Amino acid sequence: MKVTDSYAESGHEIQWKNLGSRKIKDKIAYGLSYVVLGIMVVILVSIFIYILDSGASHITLNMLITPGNTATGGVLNAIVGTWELVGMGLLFSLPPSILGALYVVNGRSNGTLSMAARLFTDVLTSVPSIVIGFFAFIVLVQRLNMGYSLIAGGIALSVMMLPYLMRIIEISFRNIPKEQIENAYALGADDIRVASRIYLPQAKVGMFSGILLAVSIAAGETAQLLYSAGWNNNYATGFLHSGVGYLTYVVWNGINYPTTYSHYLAYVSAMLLILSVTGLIALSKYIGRGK
Amino acid sequence: MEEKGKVEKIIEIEGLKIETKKKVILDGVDLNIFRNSVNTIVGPSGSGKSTLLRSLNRLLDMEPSMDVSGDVLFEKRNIRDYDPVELRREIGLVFQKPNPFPMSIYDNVAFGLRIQGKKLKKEEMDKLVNRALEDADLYEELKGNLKQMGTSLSGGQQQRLCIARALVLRPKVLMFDEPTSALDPIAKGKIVDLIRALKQKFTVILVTHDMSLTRKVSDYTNLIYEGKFVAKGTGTEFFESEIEEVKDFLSEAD
Repeated sequence: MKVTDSYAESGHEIQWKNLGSRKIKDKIAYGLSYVVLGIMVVILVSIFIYILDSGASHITLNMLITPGNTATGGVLNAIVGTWELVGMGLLFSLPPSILGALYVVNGRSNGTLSMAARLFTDVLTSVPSIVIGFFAFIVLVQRLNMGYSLIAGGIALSVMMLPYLMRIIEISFRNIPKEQIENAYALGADDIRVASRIYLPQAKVGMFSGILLAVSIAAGETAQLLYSAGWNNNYATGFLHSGVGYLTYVVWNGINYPTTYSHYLAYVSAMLLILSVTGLIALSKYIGRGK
Repeated sequence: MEEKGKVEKIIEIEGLKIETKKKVILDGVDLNIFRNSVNTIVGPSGSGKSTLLRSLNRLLDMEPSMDVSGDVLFEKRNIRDYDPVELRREIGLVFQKPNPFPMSIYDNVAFGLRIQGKKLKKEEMDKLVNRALEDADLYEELKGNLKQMGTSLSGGQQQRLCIARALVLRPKVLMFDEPTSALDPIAKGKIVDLIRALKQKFTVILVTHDMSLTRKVSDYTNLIYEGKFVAKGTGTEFFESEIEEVKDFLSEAD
C-alpha cells in the first residue's frame, strides 16, 4: 500500500496533467504533417497528370520511330541518346564508386582518407549541374578536344552519378555482417577475393537499386549535357566529336520554339522522361525493399 | 605453476604488446601454445582475450588503430615473416557467433578451398568437404542435404559448419573465440565433445569465460587479467591454484 501511495505522490498525477497538453501538441504536429504531405501530393500529382495528359494527347507513332531536330520529325534520336549517355555515365561512375565504397568500408585506412572520400562525395552531390557542365566544357570539350560527344557527356553525368552510387553501395556493403567479412579474411581470403566473393554477391540487390536510382537521376539531367553532349538532329556517329540528342534538350528547346508541333514534341519527351524516371525509381524501391 | 616441458611448443608468444592511442590492451605478455592440446585463455570481458587471438593470425593487421609489438613465433618462425593469407590458412579461427555465408552447406565448407584459386577436381573437392564435415561431427546429420542453405541450420549446427569451414584447410592450429556462448546446452555439449576430439589432429586455442567448458576440455589454462597473464597451468593445477586472482575469478565465474 505504501508503494502505491508514494507512487501517486511522486508525480504520477503531474505526468497525467502533462499528458493532456502532450496529446494536443501531438495532434497539432500530426495535423501539420498531413497538411504538408497533402500539399506535396497535390503538387506532384498535378505535375504528373498534366504531363501525362499533355504527352498522351499529342503522341504519334512517328514521333517514337523517327529522329528529329526538336521542331520537326520525332524524338527517337533523343531517346537513344539519353540511354547512351546514361550508360556511358554509368560506365565511368560505377567502377570508381565500388572501389571507393570498398575503401571506405574496409576500415583499414587511417580514417583521414575515408573521411576525405566521404567529404568529397558529399560536396560533389551539392555542386550545381551547370557548374559541372561548365567544367566539362572547358576541360573535356575544349582542352582535351573531345568536342560535344558521348564521352564528354558521359563523364559529365558520371561526376553527378558517382556520389549517389558510392553512398548507396557503401550502405549496401555496411549491411553485410562484419563477422562474415572477418570470417572470410580468417579463412585466408585476400582483399580481392573478399570483395568478389563476399561484398559484391551479397550487396548486389542494394547495388542494383542504387544503380537504378542514379540512372533515373541522370536521365533527367539537362544542364551539364548542354555543355558536354551538345545536341544532334540525328544519332551520334561516334564516341568523340559527334553531338548527342537527349530528351531533356527536346523539352527545353521544344518549348522555346515557336511552333505547335515543337511544343508537342516537348510534351511527349517530358512524358517519356517522367514515365521512365518514375518506373526506375519504383523498380529500385521494389528491388531494394527490406534492404 | 610450471608448464609441461615435454610437450612441443607450436606457438611462442614473447613480450607481445598491443595498444591503441588510448589504452594498453595486452601489456607485454608471454605465452606458449602446446601442440595437440587444448590451450585455454580465460579472463573477464575486456581483458584482451579476443584481441590476443586476432593477433595470432594477423587479423589485427586490418585495424590500423592497433599498435602491435613483441614477437610471436609459429613453428619457430616469426609470424611477421609469413604472408598473412598463408598464416591464416595455418591458424584457423572460429568466431563467437555462428556466421555461415549465405550459400549452401557445401559451398560454405568449400569456400576456403576455392579462394585459394586452385582448380580441384569435383571428386577431390567432395572428399575434402566431406572429411571436414566428418571432423566437425556434422556429416552424418547433413549428408544428402549439402545443397541446403547454411543459414537454415540450427545455431549449434551452424557453429559446427563454421568449424568444418575452418577445418577444410587442415590448419595446424584452430582457435575458438567463445564458441559456446551463443548456444543452448545441448549444442554446447556437442561442441565440448568436438573440441576434445579435435585435439588429436589439431592444436586448439580456446578463449572463453565459461569455466565449465574449461574444466571439461582444457589441458593448459591461462588466466588473463587487465592485459597480463596472472596464472598459467595445466587443467587440474589451475583449478587448485592458491593465486588470489584465480580464486577470485573462479568464484565469480562459478
